[in-house]
Amino acid sequence: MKRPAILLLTLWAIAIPISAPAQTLSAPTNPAEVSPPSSLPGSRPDVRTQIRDEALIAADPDINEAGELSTLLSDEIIAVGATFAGAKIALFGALPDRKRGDVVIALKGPELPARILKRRRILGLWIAGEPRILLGAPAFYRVLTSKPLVETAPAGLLRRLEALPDSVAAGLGGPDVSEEARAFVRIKTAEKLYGVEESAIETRAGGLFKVDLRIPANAPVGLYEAKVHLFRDGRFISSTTTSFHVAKTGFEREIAQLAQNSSLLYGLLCVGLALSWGAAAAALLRRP
Amino acid sequence: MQVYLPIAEISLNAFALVAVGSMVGFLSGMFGVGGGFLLTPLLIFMGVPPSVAASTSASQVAASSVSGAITQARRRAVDFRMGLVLFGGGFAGTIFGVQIFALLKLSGQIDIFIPLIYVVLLSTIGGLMLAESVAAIHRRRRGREIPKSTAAAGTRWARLPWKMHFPRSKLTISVLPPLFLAFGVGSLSAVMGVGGGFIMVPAMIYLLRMPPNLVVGTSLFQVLIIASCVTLLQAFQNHTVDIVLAALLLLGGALGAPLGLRAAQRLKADELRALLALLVLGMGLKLFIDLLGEPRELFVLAPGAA
Repeated sequence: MKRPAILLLTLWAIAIPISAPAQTLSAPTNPAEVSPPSSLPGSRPDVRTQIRDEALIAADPDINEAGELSTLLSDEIIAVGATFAGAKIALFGALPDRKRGDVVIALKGPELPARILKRRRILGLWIAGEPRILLGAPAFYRVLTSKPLVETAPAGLLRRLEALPDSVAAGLGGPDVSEEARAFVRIKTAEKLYGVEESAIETRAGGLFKVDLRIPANAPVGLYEAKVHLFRDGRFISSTTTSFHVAKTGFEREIAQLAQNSSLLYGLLCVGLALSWGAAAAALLRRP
Repeated sequence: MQVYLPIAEISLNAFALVAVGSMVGFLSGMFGVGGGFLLTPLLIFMGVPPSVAASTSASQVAASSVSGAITQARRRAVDFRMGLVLFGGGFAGTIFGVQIFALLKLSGQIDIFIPLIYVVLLSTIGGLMLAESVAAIHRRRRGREIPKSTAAAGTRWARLPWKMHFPRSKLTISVLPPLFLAFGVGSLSAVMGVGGGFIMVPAMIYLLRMPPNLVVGTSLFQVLIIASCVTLLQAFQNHTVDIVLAALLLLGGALGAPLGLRAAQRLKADELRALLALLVLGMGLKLFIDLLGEPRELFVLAPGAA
């Protein structure tokens, strides 16, 4: 009973990256350049084999016998290179018992400290006041669903599972949601770092589903966690968590590390670059 | 073409950044200012975090002033002795300004202070310059004699001690006014994240009574050194200089600065001052209007816990 579903999932997972590699991994604007050399299936043939192996392990019949929700990511790292303009990772999954269900994914980025300031009117001018520090707020938080949220599960249940963006605000403000926490979610939503994409998950017969997890260019680097929740008839069935990294690679990584670890050298480099370019330009353009 | 900036941690259009750099470079070549007062707000507007914008602007200011300073030095339009005195005061001022900045940041008042000081400073200096230069243009058009600026210098600061002779400027004045001036500008530039040329140029003309033909070159020389110091300090202490962003701005700046210099030669000195005054005033006015209108979002989000 289980085996055909597993086979199907594995085949699908393998077939999609092969037939459309740009779709699974790369930025929408410039697929070839965004692709990180170290982690793309196309550039290192053994990676795809590895993914296939993991698919088989993840979809092990012994594990899935208990009615587990199994998922698979098309990649484990998003490389942020010089031309990074956002990227996407495909998440494949199989629901237990090969039956249909409603899936909600809460994709959460790294938790970074932030300050929020409220503008006040002082002598007719709108001036930002004292900052309030927000700790434990994810810098990225998007919810993806297979059906509109209202049809999936009661709001209270979704909030408890942290599958609603305003649950972040609730978490920040303690028992009563503060004005600042709500504003935080509002600003993040305007920056497209927070939000809900309803009906973004594609479900197929046999309890299979697929979704593209989009990481915009302004998303911070760090560990991203996708919590996958399954609902049936408004009831919570099970959930599973999978994660991937968004990391600076190559040149970008070297620079960030140099700036952090050898800051004096980096500073001298910046000044040297500025002065030499300025001097070179002056010398070059002296002759009209 | 989008380029990812490793320190700012965002990706921006490379051509837009080069364009911004060349525009600021043009202005710096034309007026002898670094252009930081324009570049920092522009970068923040494009989405660069304010701390990175201010620190990276300093490197662009250094670069655009080096090409200008070399051109001016070749034209013998730099008073190096005055430049060194200004550097001494300016360097002390930069260190003082960084302390003030840290203090304001600690008390949470920095975000109130910066926009206010921008508005006050830009509108005061812009207004004064505009009034003076328009009057000068009027006088010139009517054919009246332009008052000799150097003649007044000897009497104005006559009582102050530690006189020094500046042969290039044909000035013999106490080192105290230029030292204090540079100290003030240096501390302001550290707080505001600008080179300070837009204050230096009018101050050298009106307060020190330096010959106008030496003002642009000497100011560029001083801005060059101060901006280099600020870049190094910010990279070393705060890790907020983005070298990729800097490189793109530099590319534009290197293209713009010589064009600005050429444009400046076609204009009369008072007209040049009037234009700079309008620019400074416009920027101050824009910031003032921004502070006046009720914002759509009452809250401002900033990264970091400090």
